[in-house]
Amino acid sequence: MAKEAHPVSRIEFLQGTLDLIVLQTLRWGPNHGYGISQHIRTHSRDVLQVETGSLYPALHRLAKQGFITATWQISENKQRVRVYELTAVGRRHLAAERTRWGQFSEAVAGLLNAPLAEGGA
Amino acid sequence: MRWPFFSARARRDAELDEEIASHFEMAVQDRIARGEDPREAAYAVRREFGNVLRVKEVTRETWGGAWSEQIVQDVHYSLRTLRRSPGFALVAVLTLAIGIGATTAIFSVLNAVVLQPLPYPEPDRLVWLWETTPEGNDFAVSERNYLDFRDQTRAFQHLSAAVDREVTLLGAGEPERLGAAAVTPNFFSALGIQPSLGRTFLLEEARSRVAVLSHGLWQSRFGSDPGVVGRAIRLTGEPYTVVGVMPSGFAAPGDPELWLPLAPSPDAERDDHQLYLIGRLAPGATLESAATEMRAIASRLSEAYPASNGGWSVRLLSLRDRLVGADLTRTMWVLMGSVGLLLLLMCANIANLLLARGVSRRREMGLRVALGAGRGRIVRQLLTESLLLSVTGAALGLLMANAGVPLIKMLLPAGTPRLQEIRVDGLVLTFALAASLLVGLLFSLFPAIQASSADVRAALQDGGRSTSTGGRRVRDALVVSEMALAMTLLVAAGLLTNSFLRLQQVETGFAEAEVLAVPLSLSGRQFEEDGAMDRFLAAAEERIGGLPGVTAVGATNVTPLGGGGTVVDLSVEGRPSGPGETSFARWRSVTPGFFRAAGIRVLRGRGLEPPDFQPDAPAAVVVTEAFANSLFPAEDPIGRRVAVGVNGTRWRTIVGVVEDVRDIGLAESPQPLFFMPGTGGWPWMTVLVRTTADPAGLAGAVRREIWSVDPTIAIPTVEPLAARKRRALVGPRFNLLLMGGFAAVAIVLATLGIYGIMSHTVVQRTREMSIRIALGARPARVVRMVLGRGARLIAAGIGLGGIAALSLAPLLGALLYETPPVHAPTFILTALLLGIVALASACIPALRAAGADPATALRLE
Repeated sequence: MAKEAHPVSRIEFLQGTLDLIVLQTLRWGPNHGYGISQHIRTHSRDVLQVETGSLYPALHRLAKQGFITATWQISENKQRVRVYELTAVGRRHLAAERTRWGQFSEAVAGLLNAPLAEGGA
Repeated sequence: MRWPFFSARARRDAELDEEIASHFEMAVQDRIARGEDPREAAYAVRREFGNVLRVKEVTRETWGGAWSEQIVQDVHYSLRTLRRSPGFALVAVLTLAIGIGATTAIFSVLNAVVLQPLPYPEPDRLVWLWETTPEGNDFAVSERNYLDFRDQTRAFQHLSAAVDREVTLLGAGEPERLGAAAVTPNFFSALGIQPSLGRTFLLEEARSRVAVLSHGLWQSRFGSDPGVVGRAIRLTGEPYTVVGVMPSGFAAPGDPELWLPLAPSPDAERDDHQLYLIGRLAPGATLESAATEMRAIASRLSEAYPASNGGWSVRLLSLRDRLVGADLTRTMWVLMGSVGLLLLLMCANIANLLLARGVSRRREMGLRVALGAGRGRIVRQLLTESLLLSVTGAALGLLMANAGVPLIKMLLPAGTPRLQEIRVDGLVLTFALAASLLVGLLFSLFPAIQASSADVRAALQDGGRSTSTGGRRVRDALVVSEMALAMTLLVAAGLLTNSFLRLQQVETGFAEAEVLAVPLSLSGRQFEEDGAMDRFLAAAEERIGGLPGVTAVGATNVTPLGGGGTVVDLSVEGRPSGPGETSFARWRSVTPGFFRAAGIRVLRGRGLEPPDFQPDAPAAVVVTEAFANSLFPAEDPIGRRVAVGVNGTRWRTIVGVVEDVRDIGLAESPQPLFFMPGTGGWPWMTVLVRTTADPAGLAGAVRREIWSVDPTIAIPTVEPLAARKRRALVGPRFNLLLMGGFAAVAIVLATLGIYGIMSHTVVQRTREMSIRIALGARPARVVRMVLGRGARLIAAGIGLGGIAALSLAPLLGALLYETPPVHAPTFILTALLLGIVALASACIPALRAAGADPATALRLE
């Protein structure tokens, strides 16, 4: 999510997309909240920076929906961290969402790249 | 707020805290690893996090389903806030307790008397039957007519007859006079209630000496003895056997303490009317169909027996209408409405308090909004606070109402129907709960909305000193409505006071202050002989007359202000008589000393003298002025002759006219009355003793003298006529006290409301006032300026209240005696009173502020 300048509640912004990204991140393996936000930042080359205000509600919501589970574990630094893991249901949901996203982005791309020769809107 | 750790919600909260904290830690560690300064790293991460509290709040919201825990949270928070302002909480809870308590108490009476069905199975199938005279007046039923009705009716499953009797229960101690009813054996079947012990009368027992006890009598006189069935008792000198006891809560008209069997005789006089009938409709019959049938039967009887039944018919009403008349129903609704108005007034007051408190809590609200509380959450929490207040107040009020029920039963006029049924039952509890919820919602709604829409920055900046105009308008409206409500209640109280005062001044014709009344029941073997009663009375009167201070003794058959009456048809000599042409009047039997003892003045002619009482004296009667005006409007009645009965033969000469006598009730107009010498065998006579000393002090001596003549006479009450008159005023006095109480509370509340708003205004405008005074304005002028707003509110409220009172006053009509509902002096006086009191209370804060030192006031800004 690009950083917003105006003081609107950032929680609802592209909620569905955030869910998709979080689930995809967890496909790489179980991770905790901080790890997920760092992963997203790194793999989007610093373009997308998820705020904790969006991340944690998303994580808890996905857990409630049953797409991910959470357990408490000890990290390498001997810290207690809450680690999330993708469930089988979550995997299926992720696949479906990827397909939908693919269709969506194809459609938008098609609109944006429509040849100007035809009709000239 | 830290919860005890055994709550699941608390655990999740703690885990979330830990999760966020660990994220924070890791982010800081990473930055330090990259070479940042630890403190800078911490700042940076904190900035990135944004509003941690809000993050946690939103995350928590995704958990959902925790609203029961939220409510518990709200309650705890509310309790804490209320504990911080104990004064406010106390005032609010007490006000509510009084308001809801009073409303519930009145409702319990309304419930028992008006709303609940009568305590019999299928009570709307029960019917009361009167006969009606050719003039259309309700009258009792005669035994022979009853028998014909009973035998010919198809509309009734059971048609029973009853007559009130008084018996004397003899046994250990003083003879006790009891109210009883003689009923036909099907009486209990008609009402449909089974006895709790033994049985009721069998058909063949109609003439036997058997009795059924009421639950109350069984408890008080027979010690709740379970073996009482079969016991022998002595009633008025005769042995009777107890066959049954009725259950507790069984109430019959007239509240008799025991029942005796009645056997209407086919040989009785057809025109001796003493009975009242209670019937249960047969399946399929309705009140109208039964009335039609009975009227047809009555008209057949009228044709068959023109001399006795000519022109007579019947009137049927539901038993409920007979017991709880339209008047009483209306009175109860008026009282209920009044106490409801009072409750509204209290709500307005508390709303005002809450609004004022809301102003001082703006800072708190601002903070909460800044920290992320949603508006809905704040409103919910404020509502919880108000509901907490109202439910606590209601619980307290319910306790008060419960404790007050016995008090109410004592204060209510003794004759109030269904008095015993008044209690706090399920419906009353539900009402109290509903009232408290409604009240809580009502007075909390707009303070809550006002508080939660606080502009955050403004609230935090100026420390909540200024008030928004919107809030002020609401407070003004509240105060105006308080004044209006107070005005309405005050007018009602004023009208009732006027009516009561007039009632108190009614002339009964008796010399109340000097007379003692001794009602006696002269039944028993010893009085069956002709003239025995007269002889007994003569002896008793002579003995009483010997007591010191006694100036006259006499007796009459109708206890003054005792209710009850006797009406007969009259023939006037020289006038044609027949159905439609008869006159009627009330009669009294008196002993020689009556007129002097009662203090009734003779206006024309003479009173009844001892010679008139001799057995062979020419029959003489004395009439009242109302009699003279009604039967002899244009001529002097003295010397004219009248006879009892439509075609009476025993002519009596009118020998005197006395002043009007009101001996039935205070509110009725004087009725035509005539006095006959001698008891005529009437078994209930009241002895009147006139004395120069205090009448009450003679009671014991009078009793002893009567018992010295015949020790078996029961003398239940001996009381001065003044006391009887006071008792006759009990009903109106009760209404007046109640309404007066409401009005007093209303004035206090409304005055407090005005005082509050004026204080508030003054605080707002202290600065302005001080500047003006410092610049040379006269304090009085400044005060007047500030008072202007208060005066406008007061005037508006009184005006509105006056209009409301004008439209509502006619509802009081039934309760008022000789006072028109729209009684100008009452309205004007009330408006003036309320206006002056309110204005005075508004002056106090204004004057205090004007007197303050301007320099000090300005410096405090």
